Amino acid sequence: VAVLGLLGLVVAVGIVGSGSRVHLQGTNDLRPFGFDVTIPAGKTACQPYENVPSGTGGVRVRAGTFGKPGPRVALSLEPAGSSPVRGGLAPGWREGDVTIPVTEVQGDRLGVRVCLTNHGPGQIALAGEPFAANFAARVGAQPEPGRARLEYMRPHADSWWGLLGTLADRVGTVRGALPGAATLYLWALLGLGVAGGAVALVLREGRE
Amino acid sequence: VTLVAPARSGRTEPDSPAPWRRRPGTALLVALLATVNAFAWGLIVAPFHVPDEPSHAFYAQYFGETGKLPKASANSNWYSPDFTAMLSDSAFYYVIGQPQNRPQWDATSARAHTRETSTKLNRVGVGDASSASTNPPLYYLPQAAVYRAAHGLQPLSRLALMRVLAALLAGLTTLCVFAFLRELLPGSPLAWTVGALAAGLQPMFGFIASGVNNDGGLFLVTAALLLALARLLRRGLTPRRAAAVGALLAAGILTKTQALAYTPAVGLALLLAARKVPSGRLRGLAAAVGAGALPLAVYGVLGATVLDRPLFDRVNVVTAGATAGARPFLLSEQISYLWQEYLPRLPFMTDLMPGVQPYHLWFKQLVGRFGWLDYGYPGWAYPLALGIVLIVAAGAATHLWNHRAGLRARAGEIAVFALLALGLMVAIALVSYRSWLTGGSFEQGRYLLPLLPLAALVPALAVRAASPRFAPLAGVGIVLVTLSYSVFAQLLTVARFYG
Repeated sequence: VAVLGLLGLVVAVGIVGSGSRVHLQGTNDLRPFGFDVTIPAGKTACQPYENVPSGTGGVRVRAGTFGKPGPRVALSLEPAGSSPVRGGLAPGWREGDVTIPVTEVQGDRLGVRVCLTNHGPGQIALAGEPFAANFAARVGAQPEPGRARLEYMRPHADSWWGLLGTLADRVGTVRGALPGAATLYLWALLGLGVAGGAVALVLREGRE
Repeated sequence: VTLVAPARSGRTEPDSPAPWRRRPGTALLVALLATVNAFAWGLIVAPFHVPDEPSHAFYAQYFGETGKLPKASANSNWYSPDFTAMLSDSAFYYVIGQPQNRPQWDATSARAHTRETSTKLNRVGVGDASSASTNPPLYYLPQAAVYRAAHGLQPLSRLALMRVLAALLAGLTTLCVFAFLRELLPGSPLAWTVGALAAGLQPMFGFIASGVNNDGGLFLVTAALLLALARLLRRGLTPRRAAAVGALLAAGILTKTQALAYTPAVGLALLLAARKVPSGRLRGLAAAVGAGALPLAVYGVLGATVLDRPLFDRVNVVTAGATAGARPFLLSEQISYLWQEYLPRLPFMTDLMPGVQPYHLWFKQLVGRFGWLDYGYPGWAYPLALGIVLIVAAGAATHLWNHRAGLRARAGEIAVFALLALGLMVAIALVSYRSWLTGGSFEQGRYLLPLLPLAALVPALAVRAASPRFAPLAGVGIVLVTLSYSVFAQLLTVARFYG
């Protein structure tokens, strides 16, 4: 029974880890507190000072369309001194958390201007945080009340297992201490040891 | 160690049958597993994402740098420039409480982590450790020693080493839980093992104990105090046992002032133990008072002369008068608040808090609410946990009912443990009510975690209730369920910070 239970736990972890989805590559750390950027039909909103991580294949925004089907939009990531990366969405998307695919970004890009054009009909509102005019997004020359939260997404769906190497690098970087990128693997090893050891100990005590 | 070590052979102790003396190996293995578990948690919880970890880690840093205790500053000028830079580099303030945000994991932030040593930013600041500033120093003493030993390392490496010490405290706590169960349930090695493992691998315990937080110190001191009380009440009053109780109470107060709430229980235990001893009563009580008063007196003198600290800091949170803009204090409302904090509201009471606190606050947060309360299990996992806990509790209750005659002889012990738990609960409710009067929110499920050794009695008794044939099965089941919740909590942690 104990072995079956442990196997069941391992299988459950395996199943959970094989679930596939498009994972985050980074965010601009803003919180979707309110709809602070509104883009009328035919206009473009631009947001400067964005850092776009390497490997970004889409930008997710929380977009409202006032109950109507989403219009055609075009997105461009414009790094200073190099050619922009472009993407867009065909009309008909539904409001909510929407990912706009872009050509995969190669290398971290700092100080990028992110521009979203609403080809209409109907306006779009993007969720974010209030900001002072000099840092706020702008529609034309007009500053908006704030900046939009932008989530930089990986270009395709991955299972957690497929993401393992990336996760290990992230854990190592965030932890900033030994054993670096091996931290995640050490954690998994210790977890297996604890699970196996705990059950073995109970069985040993139960036998005596 | 003296407390948890089995009695030496040749010395007869009441209520200490021979079988458990053969279990030091099991006790150490249980402690090792709990240490490794807390260490594993500490590997994946992003730096400073155990509640209040920046405050506690900075307290240790400031103490280690200056030998002085932190002080709250008038302008809330928290931490030091190096510490602030480290929090800023990791986007800390954008991530806590914001489950959709992640710590900085790109190469740019990795480079920023090295900034502190390259630019030699100030490590002291004005000595304001934010919410930890008014804590007593005992927990921070060994953490400051770790800080000093790792002085030349990168800041996050120093934190990682402090977390190793925190994991060791978790292991020691679990060792005390094992010994506590061994003391109360002699002759049931399986029950001690299952109870201690259920406590040591409990997800919230593993999570909180993995980080730098003086709660970890309080967990250890409380578990050791409960063990010392059990030994005092079961084996009788001797100067040594009484001194252990007094010293542990003082250690608790010097770890977190909240431990003052244990004083009535300790007093009751000493009185009950003294009543049974025909002679040497005074010597025993004097040993307890002396062992408790001496460290407090030393700290009091140091506080008055060198450290510029009152003996009992933070007590003013409860005793201070109303602040401007606060609702007035009403005794009847305080009593109602205390009731509603832990029990379902009665029909004639004004509704002072949302939901049913016993479930929505205490149960759910003790099952698991991680980070700065910003992530947890999916909704269905909590009622499932409640069902499992009720089944295990029913098993424990069955055992108690079947042995109710023996319980009468243990009424004193039960009263002491209940008073200790009640003391902590009242202390939490007093501060919570004061906070509520000013529009704040204080209580968190983790504040009841010091009572984990008492909670560990439930699975231990449930295993004891099972027939010898089914007891191992029940034990494996309880440990597997605990492990499952722990494993998935850690997977959620990986997804929360790195996914």
